[in-house]
Amino acid sequence: MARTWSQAEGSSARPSLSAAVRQALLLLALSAALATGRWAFVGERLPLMADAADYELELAAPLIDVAQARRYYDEGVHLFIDTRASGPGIADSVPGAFVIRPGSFDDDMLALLDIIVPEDRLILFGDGSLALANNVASRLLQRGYPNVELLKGGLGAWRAAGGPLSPRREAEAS
Amino acid sequence: MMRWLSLLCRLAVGGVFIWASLDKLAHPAEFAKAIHHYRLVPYALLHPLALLLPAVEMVAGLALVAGWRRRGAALLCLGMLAVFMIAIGAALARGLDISCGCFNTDGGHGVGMDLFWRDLLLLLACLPPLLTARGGPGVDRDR
Repeated sequence: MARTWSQAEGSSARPSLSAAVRQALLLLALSAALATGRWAFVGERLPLMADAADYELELAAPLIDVAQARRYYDEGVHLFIDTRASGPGIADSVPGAFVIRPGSFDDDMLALLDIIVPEDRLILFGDGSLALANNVASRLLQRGYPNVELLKGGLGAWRAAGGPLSPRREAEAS
Repeated sequence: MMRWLSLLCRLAVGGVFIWASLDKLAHPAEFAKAIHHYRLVPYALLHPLALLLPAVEMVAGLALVAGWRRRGAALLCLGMLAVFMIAIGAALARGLDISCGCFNTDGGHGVGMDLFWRDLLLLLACLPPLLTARGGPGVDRDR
């Protein structure tokens, strides 16, 4: 009869998970002590409570709410720009929206060179946090596109407000 | 055979965790920003997590390499890697274009599927030291 691995290693019993959990708790306690010592005695002392203001973005462009964005959409004058990175779960978007992503800004802009001109009025949206749209907005402003606005709440707010959706048009450069 | 596989996995995973902890321990404020980019952690927990997580990585990594409380260290690393994979998956699903904050807090590797597979590989490497009765040479015996 073939021996089990535990017999082969000279142990008669499988190691119990509860012992591993106890060990993990001990190591966690040591880690907490290390973190406390690091915080109290070494280098910069990070405040234990984060100030939300430290993490808020300095916006490069004006914000508009979803109602205003819907009006712009209905007028048909503005171009909508989807700034979300491609990936799982990114399937739909504002109908007609072009894709300009922070991670491939130059390639995406190159693909849209003949489509988007500096006179266009651009509505940028991302995943709701504004970080992506703000990143693209600041770079568009640097490139000479002055008419840029950010959609507050991103596509989530648009969807929640019942805004029309269609399958996302992936960037030609991707 | 298993004990040598366990030893190899211990050294690999432990080394990666020690390496990963160094820059975060040195720059907790920058690491807090990296965590914040995932938008999963409330502000109240952001700084405590930025302080605690690198310490857990360091302690668990050292314990794995030394073979001290090996199975507990492997369990901790496995848990952390599972959380990292969930965070990466959540970031990808929401289309976040962020740096991972894995090894350095100054930019670094962007979040992508390659990171997900790397963490899965490391997670699997936690299993031999966790599940085997003996983990190769180390401070502990039969732990």
